[in-house]
Amino acid sequence: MSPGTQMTLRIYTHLLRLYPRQFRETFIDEMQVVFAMALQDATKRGGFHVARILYRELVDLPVAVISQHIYERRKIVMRMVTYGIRQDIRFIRWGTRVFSLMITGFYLSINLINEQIDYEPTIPIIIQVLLSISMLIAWRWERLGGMLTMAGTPILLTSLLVDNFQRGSWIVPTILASSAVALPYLIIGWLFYSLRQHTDIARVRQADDLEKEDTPKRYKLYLMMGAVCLLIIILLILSVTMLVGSEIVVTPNVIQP
Amino acid sequence: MDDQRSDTEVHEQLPLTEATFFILLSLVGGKKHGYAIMKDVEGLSEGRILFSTGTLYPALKRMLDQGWIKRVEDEAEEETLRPRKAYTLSALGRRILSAETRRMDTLVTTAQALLGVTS
Repeated sequence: MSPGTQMTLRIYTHLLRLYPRQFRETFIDEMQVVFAMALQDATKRGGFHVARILYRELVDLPVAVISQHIYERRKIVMRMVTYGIRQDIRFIRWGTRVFSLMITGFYLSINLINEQIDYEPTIPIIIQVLLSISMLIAWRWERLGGMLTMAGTPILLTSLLVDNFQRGSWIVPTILASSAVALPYLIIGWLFYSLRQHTDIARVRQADDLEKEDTPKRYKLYLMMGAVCLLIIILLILSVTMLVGSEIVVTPNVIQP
Repeated sequence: MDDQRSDTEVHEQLPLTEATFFILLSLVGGKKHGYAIMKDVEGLSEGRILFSTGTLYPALKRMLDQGWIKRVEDEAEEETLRPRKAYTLSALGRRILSAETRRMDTLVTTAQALLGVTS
């Protein structure tokens, strides 16, 4: 190898240090070898070809270095965003689990109170117990538990309506109260199901998938969780209010005038 | 990971730049190291695309990150006995290349029909 070629290779090696560290660690050896091979081939063909190789490398270098730095930077940002989304999903998952326990505990305690006043378990109560079990299943198998809970909700609503109408309850309060009982199950079931979908998406999507914008989905998750929390709180307050209503004995399953 | 990309996600990667297309095309025949890719692309593009190391390797890195190509060990260099790195097309890369080829074929067919031009 001529002294000129060796000097050129040394300069080229120094210029490679301009690339980002991760890129250098992966490719620096290869790039040196490939440049040396290209230079060797060009030398055999003549000075014009050598000049062409050097010109191409020098002209492309600034753009390549800058664009690679930007690319690595965006990869880091996207990894942070994806990590942030996974943190959000984790937060929402635990929030959903806590809400499922609250719903289960709330209605279970009401049913226990009813037991103390000789209230017989009815079909709606049995369905509620089954839905509580499906929510517990969702702790481990989110998609299955979520689907079971969502599927059981219309059954619960129907059984509540039928049960209360059979006892001669008023129509509008019955519909409201039955919906207030059934809706939290539907929401929790849907949350569990959606969580599984979002988790799968976050897992499959690469952190450096720069074409996809994950930031809007992140705010969508926050919005979803916030709206659901508000709705559940309103429904719980509604149920409690109806329970302690002045001249009406209210249970989650029966509204008696 | 290749199998998890839907057709929609594959088509979202299109159209490819000419350089990317030719890199993927050059790997159809089997694994190649960087210099071989450079020479192959120059030949396939009839001299229109001339890679420098500064354009080739960032492109290879992006394709590696996207899972379109894989990096494999090649036989050792003769002088230094240092294992050489070669690149090979992944299943996803092959799907992307096929999708782009079909897309261009549709474009050409449509244009030929409208212009009344035959190949």
